[in-house]
Order: sequence, then C-alpha cells, then structure tokens
Amino acid sequence: MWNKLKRPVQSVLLLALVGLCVWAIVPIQKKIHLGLDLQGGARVLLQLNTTKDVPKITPEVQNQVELVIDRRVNSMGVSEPVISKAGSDRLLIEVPAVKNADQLEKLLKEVAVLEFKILPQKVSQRARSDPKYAGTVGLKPGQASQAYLDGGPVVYSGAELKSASPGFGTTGEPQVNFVTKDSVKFAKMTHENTGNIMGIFLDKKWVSDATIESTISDSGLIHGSFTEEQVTTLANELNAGALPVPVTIIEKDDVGPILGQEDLQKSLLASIVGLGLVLIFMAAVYRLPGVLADLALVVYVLALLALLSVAHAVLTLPGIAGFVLSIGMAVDANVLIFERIKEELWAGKSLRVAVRIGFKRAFTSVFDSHFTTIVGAGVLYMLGTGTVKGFAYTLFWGTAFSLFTAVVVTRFFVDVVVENNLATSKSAYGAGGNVAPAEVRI
Amino acid sequence: MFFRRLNWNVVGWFRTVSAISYAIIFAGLLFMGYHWVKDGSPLRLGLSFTGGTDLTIKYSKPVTKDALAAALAKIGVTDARINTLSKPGEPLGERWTIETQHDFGNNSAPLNAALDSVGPRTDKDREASAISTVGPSLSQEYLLNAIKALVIAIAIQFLYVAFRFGWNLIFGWVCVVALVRDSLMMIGIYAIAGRRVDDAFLAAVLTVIGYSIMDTIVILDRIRENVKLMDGKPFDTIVNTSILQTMTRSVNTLATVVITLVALLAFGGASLQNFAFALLVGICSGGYHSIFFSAPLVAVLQKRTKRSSIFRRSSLAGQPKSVAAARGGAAGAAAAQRDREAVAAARRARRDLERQGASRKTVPPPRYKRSQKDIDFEQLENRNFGAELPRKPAPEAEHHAAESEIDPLDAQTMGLHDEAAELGHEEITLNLGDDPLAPEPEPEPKTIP
Repeated sequence: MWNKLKRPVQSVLLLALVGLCVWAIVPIQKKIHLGLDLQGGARVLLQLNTTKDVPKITPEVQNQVELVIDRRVNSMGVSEPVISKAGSDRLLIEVPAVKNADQLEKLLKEVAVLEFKILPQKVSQRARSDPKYAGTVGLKPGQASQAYLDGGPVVYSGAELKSASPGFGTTGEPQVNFVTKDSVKFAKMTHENTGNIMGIFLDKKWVSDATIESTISDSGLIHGSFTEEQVTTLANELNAGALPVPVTIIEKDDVGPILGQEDLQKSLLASIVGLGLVLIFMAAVYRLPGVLADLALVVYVLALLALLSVAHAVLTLPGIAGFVLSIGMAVDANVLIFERIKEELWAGKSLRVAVRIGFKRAFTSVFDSHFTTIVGAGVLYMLGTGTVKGFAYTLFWGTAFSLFTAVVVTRFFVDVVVENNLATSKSAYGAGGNVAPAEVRI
Repeated sequence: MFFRRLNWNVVGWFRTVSAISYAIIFAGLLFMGYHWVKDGSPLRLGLSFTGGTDLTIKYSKPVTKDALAAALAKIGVTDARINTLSKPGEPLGERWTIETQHDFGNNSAPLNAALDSVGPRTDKDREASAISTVGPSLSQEYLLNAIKALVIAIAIQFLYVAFRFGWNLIFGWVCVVALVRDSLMMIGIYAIAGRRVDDAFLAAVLTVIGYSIMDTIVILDRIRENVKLMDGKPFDTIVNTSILQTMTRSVNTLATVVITLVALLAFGGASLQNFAFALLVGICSGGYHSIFFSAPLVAVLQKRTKRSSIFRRSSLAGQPKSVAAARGGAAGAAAAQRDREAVAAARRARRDLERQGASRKTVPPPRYKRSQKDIDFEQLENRNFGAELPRKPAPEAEHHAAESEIDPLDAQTMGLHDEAAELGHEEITLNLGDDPLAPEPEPEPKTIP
C-alpha cells in the first residue's frame, strides 16, 4: 500500500514545498530585504561611555539612551531607521540612505544637557528679546550663553524628568505637560520658589522660561504664549535632552545609494554566472544524475531565498558571497554520491542496487562535509565582525538546507527515474564502458 | 574514472609535495620579515583589525593623486594609501579609494571639507561614495575575536575528526597538520601578494578549515575502508589506491567551488573580489594538501612509528640481550639462542592455532542472514596500525582485494562487518526476483565449502 502511494505523496510534498518557496519570494524586490551596503545607507555603532555620575552602563541606562536616540533619529524624517542594542554597552543604528551623514553624526553624539534654573526678572526679559544673549544664535558648541551665566544655580536637571508631552490647557492654549522622577525634590524646590521664574536651558542655551505658580510634585505643566509648534519642540527637547551618558561612534559604514546599486548589480551578475556554470558542470560531468542534481539545486536556491524572506533576514554583499559559495558547495554532496554510484556500477552492481548503496555509503561523507562547514560558519557568526556576519549567516543556512536538497530531493528524482526505467544505460550515469578500471599498482 | 587509471605513485611524491608547501610558507615568512622591517607590520592588516577610515569617493572631474594627498596632509593624514578606481566609460581619476589609520568616525566634517577642496562633488557624486570607520578600541576587540574564532574552530574540527576515527590519533593529527599548513599557506600567499588581511580573510580561513577538512576525511575514510578490503597489501599501496580512487571526487568537488569563486572574482565588485581571492587561495591550498599531503602523511607516519619501535630495540644493541648473555661465554649465547628459538616456535604454534580458529569461524552454513559472529574490525585495524608485522592474508580477502566492494556472499562467508552483510542480504533478495534492470546475474559465490 505504502509502496504504491510513496512516490505520489512525495511528489505532492515536493511540489507544495516549491510552491511555498515561490509564494514566499514573489515579488522578489519586496520580499528580500537588502542590506544597507546594497541599498545605500549608514550603519553606526555607538559606544556608551561611563561618567563620574554613571560609573556603570546598566541595562536601564542603555534603554534610556536607546529611547533618546530613537526619538532624535525619527525627528530627522528618514524612513525606517532601526535602532537596536549591541552587547551590554553599545547601540547599533541603521539608517537607510541619509542625505546628510554629518547631521546624523552630530545628532547621535550630542549629549544635550537640560537644566532648570531660577532666573531674575531682568534676565528672563532680556533672553526673550535678545537671541544673542539667550545663546540661540552665535554660540559655539560647549560655550555657555550669557543668560545661563546670569541665571541662578541649577535647581533640577533634565535627567530627572520622566517624560514630557505637548498638550492643551483648559482654555485651549498649547502647553507642555511633564512628569518628574524625583517628586520630593521637585516639590521642595517649587515650594521654595513659588512666584519666581524658572528657566529651561538646553546645552546651556536658553530655551524657555515660565513662572512657577504653585508647588509641583510629580506632574506639572508649562504654559504661556506658546504656539502649537513651539510646544511640540519644547516637549521633544525635554524628552530628548536627557541623554544620560556621552557616546562615541566606534564604527561607521556609510554607503551611497548609487554605489550600493552598482555593487548589487555586479554581485547579482556574479551569482547568476556562478550558478549557471555549476549547473552546466554537473550536467556535463554526471549526465542524467547531474541534470537531476541541477533540479535539486534550483529547489535549494528557492528554499534559501524563501528562508531569507520569511526570517526577515537582510541580504548584504558578504551575504551574497556566502550564497554563491554555498551553491558551489551544495552540489559537493551530489558529487560524492554520484561517484559512489559509478563505482558500484563498475563493480558490476545493478542500477537499483548501485543507487541505493551509493546514497547510503556516501551519506557519512556528506554529513561530515556539512558538519565541518557549519562549524566554521557558526563560529564566524558568533565572533565575526558586523560585515562578515552576513556571510556566515547565508553560508550556515545554505549548508544546512543543501543537506536536505542534495540528499533527499536528489534521491527522490533519481529513484523516480530508476524505478520507471526512464534511463537504463550505465553510460547515462557516467559509468560507460562495462570495464572496471584497472587496479593501481605501485 | 580518469584518475583511477593513472599509475601515479602519490605516496612517493610526499617529499616533493611537502617541500613545495614548505617553500611557499617559507617565501611567505621572508616577505613577512621584509614587510616587518619596511612597514613595521608583517602583514598588511585591514581596517577592522587596525582601526581607521576607508573611503570610496567620486568627483565630477578627474583630480590628481598629489592634490588628494596634499589636501589630506593639511588635516594631518599622512599615512593615506590612495588608489584610483576606474570604471569603463569614465575618465580616469574620478573615482578614488583612500585608506588611512586615522579615525574620523566621530567627526568627519574636516575630512569632508578637505576632500571637497580638491575637486567638485555633486550630490550624485556623494551618493556614489562610501565611508567606513572603525575605532581603535573596537579593532583590538575584532583582532582578539578573530584569533579566538580560529582557535575554537580548529579545536572543534580536531575533536570531530578524532571522534570520527574512533579517537585514532594519527588521523586526528594528520588533519590538524593539514589545517595549520592551509592557514600558513594562505597567510604566506597574502604576504607575498601584499593584500590586506581583513575580516573577509578571516571568514575565508574559517570556511577553508571547514571545507578542506571534509576533503581529508573522505580520503582517510577510504583508507580505513581499504585497510579492511586490501588486507595484506603494503600500507603504501593501500593509501595510494585510496587516493586515486577518491581523486575524481576530490577534483570535482573542488571544481564546483572554484567555478563559483572564479565567477565572483571576475564579475563581483571590489569588495566581493577580496572575499573571492582569499577563498580561492584557501580552497586550492586545502585541496592540494588533502589530496597530496594528508593522505600520504598517514603512510609516512605509520612507517615512522614502525621505525621508531625498531630504533628503540636497536638502541639496546650495545647492552647484553639476556641474563645468559650477561653471564658471558659461548654456552650462555647458545642458551640464549635456544631460548629464542623456543619462544619463536611457541609463537608460531599460537599463530597457527589462531588462524585455524579464525578460519573455522568463517565457515557458516550458507544462509542469507546477518552473521552474528563478526570479527571485531576496529581491533583488526588497530593492530594493522600498530608496529606489528602484517598478518598473512586470508585467501578470500586477497582474491577480492581489487574490488572496492566485496561480493556479498563472500562477505557473509567471511563473516564481514554488519554493513556489507546487510547490504548483501538486500541485494540477494533483489536479484532473486526478476529484476528487469539487472544487466547480468551476480557472479556465483566461489568459496562456499
């Protein structure tokens, strides 16, 4: 019963697999995500540095920095920035095709310090009317504005703010709502200074000021004659200002989109030529089984592309190199098996027996080859640099997949051909001439 | 096919093969020494391992190398390597690559200003440019990780090979020696070619280690198999036959990989070419070593263990050989001679007994069932690898030594290992039915008593 049903069931399964793969990768431009080195874009690795106040980079600090950087990058208006943690004290920022890379650099590094100060009436008035005094124009980085110097001591810092958001007051005027972290300290401070003007300074620049109207503990609001836009900006600055530790850029890859496009075209051409040559080689050397192995190789390419699509993996330039290399390695298993089949045919075995023994005997070698390659790729993936990780990824999965296609799928094709007597001549299997080769003597 | 007909004495070439790979490694060392003296570092390490900045830039009009160098020198970059890249259809001098060990990751504004001062760059030119930087702290980490990765990979492969061959140390060491040679040869060729050793090179070394070890395993597997099948032949012949039997396979697997790498080298962009070159060097050296070096090394090592045991005996030659000889005189010597003869006779008798016992075991009734009384082949093989003299072959074994596969019936009569017996069992059932595919009946069993 099973023997009769075996092949049809296998055929349906194989067709379903191929169908699924094709479904997963069509349309290919949308389903396969290209790395920044191919579509153009910047990849920046940020190192979080410790300070006197923050002697250790804890996960909370890392989260905080991630949040701040995320807001800042999003405010640039680029499409789909990706910000992720790398290790315990690093952040990886990937931004596709930025027009102005210098701006990104500045944006990431800036440790904007937000401070609250109690200001005398005169200082507040002058800062509102004189941008130079306030420091909003003509101020060098790191230099303090005159308004900052004229103001009183720092009473509260931006790092002690939990969040801020734009909103509207009861009369419909725009205002900024904020939540403090240290409510006791803030309450004490505002109680002592009720009626005074509190100024907000970002990087020692005057940003805004307002009169403290009552004691504020954990949540408060800043209102005044603000426009909606101003309120949003102020809220963003209150939020983003609090980068708790200084950061440095320790690795940066910025590839222009045109250059990436050129690389993509070249590598695609190379992969297609490589694949074509391997297909021709196998068909020329191993005849019929070679053609069957070629079919299995096509299934392999589809399956690997489908994996990249389903796993949302990113195809980078080294990744393509790994892909092409794995194509050459995938047929190695077939070479092992077909050589063994030839030997068995020469030894006078019948075709069916030779095929069965060939697949069985070659399997240990095939497994060895896959295992040793996978070990190399795995170690590389764990310890390699950012760019070669893509190579290791495709090589790893490619090798794993080819174990299936080169053994199971090819076996299925060969079995179907042999069982239905589609090709009975030994020369179709590359073992022409019934003479076994002479034994070598030395 | 082709290679099996060749009457190559691959084992005999061992010295030449080893000398060639030594020569390349030695030349590499010379070049490394030369670079060390001249540039301060034996190898040209790449961006990821030294830290610094790599640039690919494009101008709208051709600029000169001197102008670029002058502009870079103004911002303190004097170590820059500046090369032009040409693209068909474009005038020379529009595209440049610049490598420097200065880290511009945190502040690239002065670098961009300096480059802009050399020639016109439009937005489109900027989109055809690239910059990558690696900070000094990260590059040290990368270098350390690279070394760690190499050590871990080689250790895992060694353990796997040792496990694969039943903890047979000769095979394990052969593989490790070949791996070390592959790595040295890759480094040597890189030193000679003056190419940058970067993360692509590391990736290539790790891939080559994994790839070439499997080549070695396949040949060693065949040697192990042939030790059983060609019992009694000189070990050199067994190794040589194994190499020639697997050579088509080795060459073809190499060819498929080399084909794809050549395609990458010829058509891939500059960054892929770096990968492809490293892999090509490594895969070729790996193939060379596993075919012509590792397998013959097994024969050489086996001979050496034999010889060393002989040396151990002959080093005692100056001392008296027995108590009787120590007592001195002709009588003592004669007694010693008699003792030796008696011992030899006893040994002969024991061997004959053993052989009879063995031949009794090999005559089961002819039934198609897996033989339960298998000879322990692991043990037999280990004996063969030890320093003992080769045993006299059983006549059946000699008869079938030429074939890679023993006739299944014979395998049963000889009580061969499980696998062959099992296969034989299947095969005979098959051939009893009328199989239209079978081109000719299986040969009749010849040695059923």
